[in-house]
Amino acid sequence: MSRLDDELKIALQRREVSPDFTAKVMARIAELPPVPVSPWQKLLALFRLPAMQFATAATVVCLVIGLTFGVRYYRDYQEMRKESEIAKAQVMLAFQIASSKLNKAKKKINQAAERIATDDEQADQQSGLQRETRPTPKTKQNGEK
Amino acid sequence: MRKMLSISATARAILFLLLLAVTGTFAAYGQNFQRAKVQIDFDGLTDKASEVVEVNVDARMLRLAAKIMKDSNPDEAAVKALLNGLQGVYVRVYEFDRENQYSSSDLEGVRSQLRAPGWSRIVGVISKREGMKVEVHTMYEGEQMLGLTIIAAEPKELALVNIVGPIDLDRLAQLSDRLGLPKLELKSTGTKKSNRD
Repeated sequence: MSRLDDELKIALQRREVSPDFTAKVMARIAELPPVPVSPWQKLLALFRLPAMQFATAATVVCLVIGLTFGVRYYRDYQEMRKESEIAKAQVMLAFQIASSKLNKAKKKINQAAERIATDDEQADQQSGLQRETRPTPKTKQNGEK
Repeated sequence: MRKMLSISATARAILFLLLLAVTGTFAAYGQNFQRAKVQIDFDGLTDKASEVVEVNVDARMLRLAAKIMKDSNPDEAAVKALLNGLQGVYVRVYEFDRENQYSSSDLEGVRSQLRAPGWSRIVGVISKREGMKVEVHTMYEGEQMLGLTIIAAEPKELALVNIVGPIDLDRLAQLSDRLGLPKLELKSTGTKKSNRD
């Protein structure tokens, strides 16, 4: 065997680590200065967790659905509001016309009623005058036929 | 088990009949009012008229309008109070540049509907001096008012108002005071009589 072989054998032979090896390594790690981590990296690190990825996906889906329904609801509401305003204007106009026509009829009826009342009054006055000028008939005696 | 099944079947049958009765009542209620809806066909007048007002408001539109009418606004509150129970409001107003642009035959279609049972003319005003004719027709079923139709014919204007559903005529007449129309002095004849007495 060559000398090189011997050296390799010695170099590669299994050696047991000292019992405090782990403690020493951990102590060395603790002594090392902390690697600077930006808040963004911290945040991104959070999203690398599977639970967070699922939660993020669920939130995005919910947001999309919510926004879609929200926009649709808002559009429907706007449309309904517009329709209601048109309906209100039409109703106001319709009642305005109906009321004015009804009042026209009412006015005519009142005028006619007033005319009749005036005619009645004049007729009453005339008949009263005639009664005054006519001689009063004698009152009938008891038993007289 | 069989008894339980038969009970549930009976209950189901009763529920079905109840539902049928409720649905039937509602349908009959709606149909009843539909009798008071007048079919307005004045297509021939649209071309002759210089101005046309056409209002078609069905029950759904009336509900929508009532929803946004504010009680704080006196005009809107007054109209809103009249909307309760109404099934539709239909108005046609035709204004003409010249007189005699329409004839009574144009109104025949409407008049024939108003001759149908249930309708009765409560007001008929003819003013030969002004060439004006106003008619108010109402439809009642028992104590319940189903609808109202007003026809106002003037030399240069023809108006038709059809209100489907119960409406208070006095309150409707009072609306013109609120909605910016000139107030009409309606004199009571009763006071005159009492003075004379």
